[in-house]
Amino acid sequence: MQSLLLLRYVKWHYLDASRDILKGWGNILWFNFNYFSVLLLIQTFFSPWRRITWDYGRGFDFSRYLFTFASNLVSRILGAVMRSFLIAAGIVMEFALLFLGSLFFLFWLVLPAIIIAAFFYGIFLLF
Amino acid sequence: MASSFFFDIKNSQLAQALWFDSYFHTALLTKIQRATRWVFLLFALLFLLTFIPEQGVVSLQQSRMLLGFVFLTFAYGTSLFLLQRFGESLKKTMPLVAKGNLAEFLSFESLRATHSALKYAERERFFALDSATLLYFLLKENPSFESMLTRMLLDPKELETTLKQQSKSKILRLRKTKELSFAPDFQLAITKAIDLARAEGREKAEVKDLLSAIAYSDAFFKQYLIERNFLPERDIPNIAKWHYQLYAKAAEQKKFWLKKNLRRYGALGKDWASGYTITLDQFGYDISKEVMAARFPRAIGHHKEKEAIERILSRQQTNNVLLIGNPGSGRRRLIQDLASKSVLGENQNPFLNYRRVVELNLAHLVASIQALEEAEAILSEIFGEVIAAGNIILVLDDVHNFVGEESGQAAGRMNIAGVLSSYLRLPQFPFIAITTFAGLHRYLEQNPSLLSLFEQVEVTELSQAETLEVLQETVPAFEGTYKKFISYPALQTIVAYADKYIQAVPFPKKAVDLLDDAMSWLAQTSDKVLLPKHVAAVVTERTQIPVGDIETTERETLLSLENLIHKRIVNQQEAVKEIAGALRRARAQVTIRSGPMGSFLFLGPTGVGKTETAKALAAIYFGSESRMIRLDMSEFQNVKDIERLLGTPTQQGLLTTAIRQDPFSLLLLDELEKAHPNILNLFLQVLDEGHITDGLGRKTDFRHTIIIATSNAGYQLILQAIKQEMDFAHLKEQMLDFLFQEGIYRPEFLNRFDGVVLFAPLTQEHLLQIAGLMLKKLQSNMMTEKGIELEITEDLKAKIAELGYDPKFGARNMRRVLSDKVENALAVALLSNAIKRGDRITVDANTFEVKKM
Repeated sequence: MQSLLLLRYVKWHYLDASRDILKGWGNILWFNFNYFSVLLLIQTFFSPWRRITWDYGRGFDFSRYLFTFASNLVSRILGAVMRSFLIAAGIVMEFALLFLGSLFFLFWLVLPAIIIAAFFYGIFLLF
Repeated sequence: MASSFFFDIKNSQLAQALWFDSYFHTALLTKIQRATRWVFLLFALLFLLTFIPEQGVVSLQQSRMLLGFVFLTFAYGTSLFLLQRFGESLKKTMPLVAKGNLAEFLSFESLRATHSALKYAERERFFALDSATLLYFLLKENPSFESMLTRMLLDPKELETTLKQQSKSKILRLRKTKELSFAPDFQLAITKAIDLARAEGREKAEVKDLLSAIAYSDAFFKQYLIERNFLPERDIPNIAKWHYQLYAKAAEQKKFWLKKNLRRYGALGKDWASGYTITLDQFGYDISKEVMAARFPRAIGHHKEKEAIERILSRQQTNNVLLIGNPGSGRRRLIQDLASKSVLGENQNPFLNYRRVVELNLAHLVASIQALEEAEAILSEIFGEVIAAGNIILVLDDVHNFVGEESGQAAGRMNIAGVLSSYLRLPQFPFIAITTFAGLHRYLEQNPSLLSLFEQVEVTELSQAETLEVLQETVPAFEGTYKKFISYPALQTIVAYADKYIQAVPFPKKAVDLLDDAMSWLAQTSDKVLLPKHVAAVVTERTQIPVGDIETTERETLLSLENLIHKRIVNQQEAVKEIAGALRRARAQVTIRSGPMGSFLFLGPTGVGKTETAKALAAIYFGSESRMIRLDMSEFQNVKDIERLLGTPTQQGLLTTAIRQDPFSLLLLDELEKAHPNILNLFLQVLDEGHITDGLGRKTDFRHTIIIATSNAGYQLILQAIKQEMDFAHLKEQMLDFLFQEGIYRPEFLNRFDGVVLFAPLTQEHLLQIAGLMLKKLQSNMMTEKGIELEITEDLKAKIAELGYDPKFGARNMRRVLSDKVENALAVALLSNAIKRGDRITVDANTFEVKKM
């Protein structure tokens, strides 16, 4: 029973638990993308800021047309600038989470060894 | 069953987990691990203190030792953590279906209790393992079970002791063969528990399934629960499910990394894709924000309504919902449900996710802006913003107040039908309007073109079981606010009483309100637990119906009904006996019935006590004569009068409104034979099914009403029969034949009554008794009000009886004679100071003069 359990532990630590950690990590990465809405912001990158647009109106008046075009362009540029900040923040956070996550995962993989080392080092320090 | 029952714990997938748990108890490991974490932190902190310069508190050797402890506690605590997590993982194995071993289908906790029961049975040399022993170990090993019993006001320790004693007292259980077998009730419990889990889509039977199954299979537990007023097959699964959900929810909330939990933090950038809604924000109320603050409330039940709302809002055309329901039926909760799902991005249709659900406060808009044109312009601007923003679902409550012709004139209202119609056609304008049935019929149906732009969703009333779930959900909040414990029987009582005594408000509101009332009432007392008696006290206070201890009072009243009625009614032994008998049969539920509490047709000449009996019954059974709703059926001789009875959108129904407001009352239908035959047909349904639909489509419930109809049709037959000294039973047959032949009532109508009661005319002797009763009432009034003692003489009684009797009207005139002759004389004497407090007086039978004695 004991040896079987030891095998099961190894399987759990390096397969089941590792898979769960990766899954949870994946969820956090997904959450970060969703929280900053990176994909949506990329899709609507050049959309007018907060949907603020001006109507060209009826008939053709060059100066009005130019003014409306310029205003709408400003709205779109403003939208793109604002979005780029959030996209950048989202991507930076994503990389930070990727780094921290991989660090944690690595820690998990060597945890049994760390425990053994900590135990012996603790004994060594005490006596 | 025995042959197909294969239950082997040792070879099940969870055997390893059981072995592991017997050495490393995971619950204990968790506790030790937490303690170790604190010790580790303490050592770490002490070690860090050594770095503070020039303190000199800790020597180098000591700091080395501290670091050693830090490493050791880290190693120890982390090992425990890993062991505990590993132990938990062992509990979650998938069942091996192929071998047909039923032990595979039990969860770890269920299997552990079964394993302990098995070991105990072997140790005690039982002949077979039964479900009571399993119950004992379930109770012993699961603290959640204990809290569940406490909620039910049961004593876990008492049950544990009783179970132990019971198992020891059964000497027949001594094992004769080597193999321990499984008793039939144990086998039934296991198979039933697995079935219950499968019915809910789970692979393994949890402790709650086993409990529900034992309540179903174990004779002792069943009896134990029945004796304490629980229905084992209904209440145990219900409360077990409630507790299981609480635990499961708490466990789930701890796992922050789950998508479900992460979604709660919302999405920062989603709003950036939508437009600003400056004017709407000024006149709107953000329901999405409200649900975020309230931790995403969900609506219980109403599955069809929820689906319909989502489906309609997702459409490309006519994506406007008209939510129709009575206030309190959970219409707003449905909107909150939609908003919660939208914020969390959990709607089936992605189109509805991450939308803001905003309620337009039109009353505020109307109040802020005086000029109608200006208000319309602002409204148009708001609707424009909704379209421009692209992420709004707009909600308008009480839409009927803002669309009818009259809306334009009333204060605080305006008619927005015109502006609204032009926007409702646009698919970019998802809109939810809330209204009532009355509002729909009275205002919205007058504007068919507007109505055609909506898809209607009717919000039905929640069932009693669903309402109980709603109450269970509110329990933690109420307990937190009032710092009092709410018992399960109290919740059951709330649902039962709300159903019985409050009709004007639908479920779940009436039950939640009653719970709120009961809790604030309890807060003023020193009691710590909400019990059924507290709920009864609150209901009594609210409805003025003596609900407290109703069981006992009602039982006593029913048993001595004849005597109680005879205190007020003279003669009519046959009639009173029949009423009492029928009412007792109805209330003891000897017959399965869906109609009113009791229904009687009183036949007999005028002035023989038919109405008086009804009054007496109202006073005795419902506590007051004012609990009698009287309808003179001679006022309902035309088909058109049905509207007056049932109500219309503009008019209250004389019958339905009265019963909705006061369902626990006596309905007296005077002179029934004079009503139009179609109206009698209406009552056919009431007598048969116990409910009727009013003019607004609402169900009016008569299940708690006693209906008495009086009729003097065919009274000549009674008079004739008295003269011929005919047998009463024979007379009844004759009378019914007469009524059918004359077409006054149809047989199927009369058969719906619990009793058709004949009232005999009064003799001189009865009249004397009636006069005596009336004078006695006057006598007691004079004593209590004026302190004057009135002596009643036999002569006076005889004179009143003589003057009050009329062959045509029976004893009806007697009250008038008493007023004219006796009460008048007393009033004159009082005003002229001829008599005063403390006097003892009499009234002369011939001259009706007041004399001092």
